Amino acid sequence: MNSLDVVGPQLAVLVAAGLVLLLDSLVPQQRRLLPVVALLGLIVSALWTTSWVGRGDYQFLFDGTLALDKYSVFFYYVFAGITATVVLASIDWVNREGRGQGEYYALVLTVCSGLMFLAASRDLITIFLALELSSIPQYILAGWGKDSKSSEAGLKYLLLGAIASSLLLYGMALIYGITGTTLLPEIAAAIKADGETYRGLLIVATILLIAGFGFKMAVVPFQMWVPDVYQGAPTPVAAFLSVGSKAAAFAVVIRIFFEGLDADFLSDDWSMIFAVLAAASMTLGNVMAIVQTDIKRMLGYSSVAQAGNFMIGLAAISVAGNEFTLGASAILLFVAAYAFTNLGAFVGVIAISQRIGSDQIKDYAGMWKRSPVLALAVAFCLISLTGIPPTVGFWAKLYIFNAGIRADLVWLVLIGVLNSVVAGYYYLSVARQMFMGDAEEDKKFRASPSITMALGAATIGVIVFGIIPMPLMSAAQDAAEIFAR
Amino acid sequence: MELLLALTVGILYAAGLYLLLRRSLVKVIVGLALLTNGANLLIFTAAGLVRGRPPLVEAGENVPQAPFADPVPQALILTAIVIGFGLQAFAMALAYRVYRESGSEDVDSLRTTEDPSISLPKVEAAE
Amino acid sequence: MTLAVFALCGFAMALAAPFLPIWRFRPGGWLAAGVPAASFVYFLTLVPRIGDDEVVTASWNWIPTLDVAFALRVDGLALLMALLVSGMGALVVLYSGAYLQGKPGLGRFMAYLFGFMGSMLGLVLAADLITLFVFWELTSITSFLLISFETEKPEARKAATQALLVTGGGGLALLGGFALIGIEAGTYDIAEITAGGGGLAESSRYLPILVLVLAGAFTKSAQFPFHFWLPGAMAAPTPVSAYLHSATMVKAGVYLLARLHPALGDTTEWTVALTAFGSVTMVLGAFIAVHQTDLKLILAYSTVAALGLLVLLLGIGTDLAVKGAMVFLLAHALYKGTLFLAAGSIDHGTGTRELGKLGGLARAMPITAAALAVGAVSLAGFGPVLAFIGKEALIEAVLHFGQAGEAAVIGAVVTGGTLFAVAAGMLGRLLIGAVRAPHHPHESPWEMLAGPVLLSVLSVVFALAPALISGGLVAPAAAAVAGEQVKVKLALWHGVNTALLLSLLSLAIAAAVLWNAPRLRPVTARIADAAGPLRPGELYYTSLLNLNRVARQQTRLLQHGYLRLYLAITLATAVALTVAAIAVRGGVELDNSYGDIAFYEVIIAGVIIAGAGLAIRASDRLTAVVALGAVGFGVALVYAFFGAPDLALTQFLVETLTVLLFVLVFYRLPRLANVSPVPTRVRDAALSLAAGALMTVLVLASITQTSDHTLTAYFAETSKPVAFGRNVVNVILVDFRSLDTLGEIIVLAVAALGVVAMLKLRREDSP
Repeated sequence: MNSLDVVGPQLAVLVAAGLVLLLDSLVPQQRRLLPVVALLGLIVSALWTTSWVGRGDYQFLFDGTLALDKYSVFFYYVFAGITATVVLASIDWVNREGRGQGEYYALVLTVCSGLMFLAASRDLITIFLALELSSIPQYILAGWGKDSKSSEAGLKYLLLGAIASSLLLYGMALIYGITGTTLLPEIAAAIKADGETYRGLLIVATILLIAGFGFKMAVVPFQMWVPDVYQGAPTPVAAFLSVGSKAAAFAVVIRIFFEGLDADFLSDDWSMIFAVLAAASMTLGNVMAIVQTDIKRMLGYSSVAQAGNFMIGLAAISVAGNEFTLGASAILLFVAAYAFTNLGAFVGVIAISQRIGSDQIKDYAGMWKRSPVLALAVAFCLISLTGIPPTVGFWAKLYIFNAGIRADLVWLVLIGVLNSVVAGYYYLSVARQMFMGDAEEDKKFRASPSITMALGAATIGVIVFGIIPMPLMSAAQDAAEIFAR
Repeated sequence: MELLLALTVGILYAAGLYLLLRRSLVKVIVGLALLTNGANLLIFTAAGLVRGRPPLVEAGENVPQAPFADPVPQALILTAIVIGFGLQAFAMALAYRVYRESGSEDVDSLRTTEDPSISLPKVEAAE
Repeated sequence: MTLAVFALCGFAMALAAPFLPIWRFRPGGWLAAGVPAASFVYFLTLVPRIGDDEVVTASWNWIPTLDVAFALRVDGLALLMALLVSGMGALVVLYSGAYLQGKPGLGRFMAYLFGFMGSMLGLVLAADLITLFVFWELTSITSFLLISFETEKPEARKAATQALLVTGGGGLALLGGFALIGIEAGTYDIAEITAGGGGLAESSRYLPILVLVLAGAFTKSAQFPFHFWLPGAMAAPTPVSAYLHSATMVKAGVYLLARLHPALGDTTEWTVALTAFGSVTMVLGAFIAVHQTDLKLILAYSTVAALGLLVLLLGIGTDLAVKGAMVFLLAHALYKGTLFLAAGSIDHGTGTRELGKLGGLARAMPITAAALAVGAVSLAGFGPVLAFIGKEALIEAVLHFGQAGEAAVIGAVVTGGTLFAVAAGMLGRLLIGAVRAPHHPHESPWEMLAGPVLLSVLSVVFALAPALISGGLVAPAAAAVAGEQVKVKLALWHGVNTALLLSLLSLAIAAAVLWNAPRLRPVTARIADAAGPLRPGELYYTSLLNLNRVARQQTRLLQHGYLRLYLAITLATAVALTVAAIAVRGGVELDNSYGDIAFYEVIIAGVIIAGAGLAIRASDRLTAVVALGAVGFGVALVYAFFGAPDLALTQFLVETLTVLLFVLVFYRLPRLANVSPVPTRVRDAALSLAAGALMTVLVLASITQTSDHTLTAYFAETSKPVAFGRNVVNVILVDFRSLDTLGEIIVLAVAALGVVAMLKLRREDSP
């Protein structure tokens, strides 16, 4: 196996990005083909990934900086799926905007490749690079819209992101200074050898890393950009941000912390930090989501709360022995479940706002009568976000609570339970509006084909994995196995 | 020299952050640049200074002669410089666009995404 | 397998119902009722087997990794509930077919109804906690759809949402409780858990488990202070109320408590919580029922009282109490079903449910009236009805209840008396006197009479011949709840004993209440008023309002949209956390062994610092550019002097480009005029200086950490021999980390794309 093969999935996506740009400038009259090319690139990428799974040939490459293991594979699929859905959901919007079509899809694809690199990196420098590779195009995309809200969103995202990056960079430098290496497994070895002497500095480095990645995960207190950016950015981009970069941030954090910084004297501290951040994110995110009247802002705050849910899994590292990977696999399951669900909800929002021209929750009244299938699909996504069966969100929640309890974090799980109740309140209020509100007008409508496809895929995922969750769970578990100690 | 450079780093950080907190968009961009430089210099200093000995292998030898400057942080900083430049360039373009659209370079005017139903506090109304 | 088919056939019907063409014809309801009737017959055939201590199970692996199975299991308790759910289901489907005849959306209504039935059967038959939970939440959702069926009514919407929020919220708490139980007991299998395998009652997590489980059960079974959603849910079509509030939805909480009683029961916490909440709910429900005038609301509050009574009995938990609970469970389902269905029939026949507008129905609607009479006798708890046996068992159990027995006795007697008064008042007004109704009353079609008649007949038959149920149904059910065999001998007449005397005492109370009704009304009203926030729903609304208020404040405080404050908060958090970490964990040591300083180095540092200062002071773009350039080139010189020529070169290049770009882009921007007031500047300066100082300290601290730089050694040693390069930095970038370099190129390309796009799109956008 050569190195080109290993970065195949990323390369496929990048090549597609280049092709899209070329096509756009050479054959401008064939713009309809751009998303098709983008989707093809993603399909090739997924197939490439599948070919490894078939060969079962997992290894480390580029001097150990890039891992080809079940963990990366899991995320390659997740990111390819997310990006494909985002591309589908973008088609109408991009066509309406009319300008910069090739650049738009190229940027989306570049983000995807960056996210994939991020999930596979196991070297601090590569991680930093991959993070920026995925972030910069996201800043650009956030500012892609025509109105000033969009550029404002882009600027806010960029400046806060730059601060976060600089904190992160220093955290990494500090770790290198102490351990003399940037490779995660060697970092772990060095810390186990004589890291305890540098405990204070290592904790400082850990905090800087958490601050840097916390921004991407959108956890309290690094969540402040979220509502403004979600609302200001074009909705398909907001959908992308809400699942893509969050998932990738968790992917890389799990790798860094479970693989590199898992020494007991360190993990005791950081799991406590994660637990506190989880509690704060869940509580503040949910409380602030309640009063929102704009559904994009509501989803923004709710994504902060969901990040808190993910984080219970990060805090759950103290689980002993063979169940050590429980926290990681719980997050992976949650990431995948959340990806389906939140994307579904966002695509539903896109579909509805395309037709009614509003993102206000009150305008969702009577949606059930105007577009029953759409309302039902969105309702399923909301139920799944709440964590109620028979949806995939329920299993995710069960899994994460399970991990939390096993790690003796009963208090955190109780906070999580209380928060689920609050979250249920605002998620289901939207559902109530759709099913029971009085529509101001009764004109029926249908979503466009591409949106229907995206929404259909997400909703079917939500329901099918809600009834038969096992395939997803075993994939998550296999992926988390790489951390077994 | 470490002491002096450490102080310089601290001042660069302080100045960069202070500028980031200003209302003028241009100052914010300048602050970003200072911060990037500060961060790079920080890594450079923290990794240990070796005067004038780049990590080069002399002709006819197999390893560079100790003491030599640590090449790994240099690789990291090189990455950071390049990425920082990209970021900086885009930030300038975006800031320009924001200015053209809003007609103002006041950062505090960038609050159009706020939810109007939630009444806002009067932060620094005196300004 | 057969079990699963009969248990879950409701879901198949639910999926098919909206598309079936049968609803327009009257016999459509008969056909549909056949499905639950078939389930009912199947469960009847299980009675002898369960009576012989057999259990019937069906199980599939669902989530092997978590040991979750999709499992169904029939024991005495499950069988009793399954019979009630499917039997009542058949009657209600039959009834609804006629009640909603010709209404649009009957197919949709039937889909919800069957979905609910399937969920409820799944809930009572579940042998696995997670399976149970899935069905539990499904009942919340389907009942939401049922209650809100008539969406055009605003009160129906409100009620449905309320019911969903309360029961759904409780359900999520339950999930937490189940997860805890699963881990503590090491299994989700209910039979294993109740067999005491996990020793839950002794576990350190018993209290959180109990609280969470009770939160789920109490919300579902409308216990105080969650009782308010139940009367609100009366906005549903009457057959739905009959179904949800007699045998099914509200009994789910009671069922859960009964189910987990062997595992969680018989501790002080359990007894205190259940008896306290149960009695309060019981008395409160009866009390509020007295001064209701809407027939359905009377029934709703008396249901609240009955649920309180059941919880009280489960709290006492003795064999006697468990036996009483099972009898009363059955009796209540029979008579409350009768009453609700009769109330629906009256509504259908007369057009109102207001007591004040009705009278003389004994003549106008004789069959309905007869059924109503039997139901009311049961509600009163006197006469040859099963409820009488249940009530006697209750008083018996309470009398033998050690702690706080007296209070419970008084509560039971008062409740009995009050309910008696309720029943008597209701009957007296409805049946006797001249015929009064908004429009001419007519008797309902047979489909709507079958239910009330059949149920009231059963009420009487079971009372006269209790042997029919005692051995086959009640004993196995009680055994499942008690966790051991319970002797059950039921009789209508026990001779004159304390229980009977107390019953008579409650009769006297009832008489007194009725006699003084006009004088008592203002008093009860005042008490209900004084209870202010405890009145149905008000607590709920106040808490929702408060939640909203807090949320609004929080949002205003934290999400104000000011970018600068966001930056400041992010920064402050990072600094605070870092300082805290250093303070707690230590590890930052500074020594004075820093290298000497050369003269030119001072100058370089001076240039950088001066540049930074100038940048702060700058009030026009040119100065800012000069300052920026000074800093950038200064840093480049540092790299050059300390062994990093590659860095220096790159930095020079990048800095030049940055300055150029800066001049180009900001050429036309105005003077930097926006100046913050002094306090803001002081605050920002303090924060920035703190962060800067922290960085200085951290740099110095990390210099003193000397460690073997394994990676450096590796690169240094392999650079020439392996990669044939003499410049180690270059070798790292080009050979060892070629991927990173590729990444950098892409990042630059993307940034360029972004810059071009921002400027180009801007041009395209402007008109």
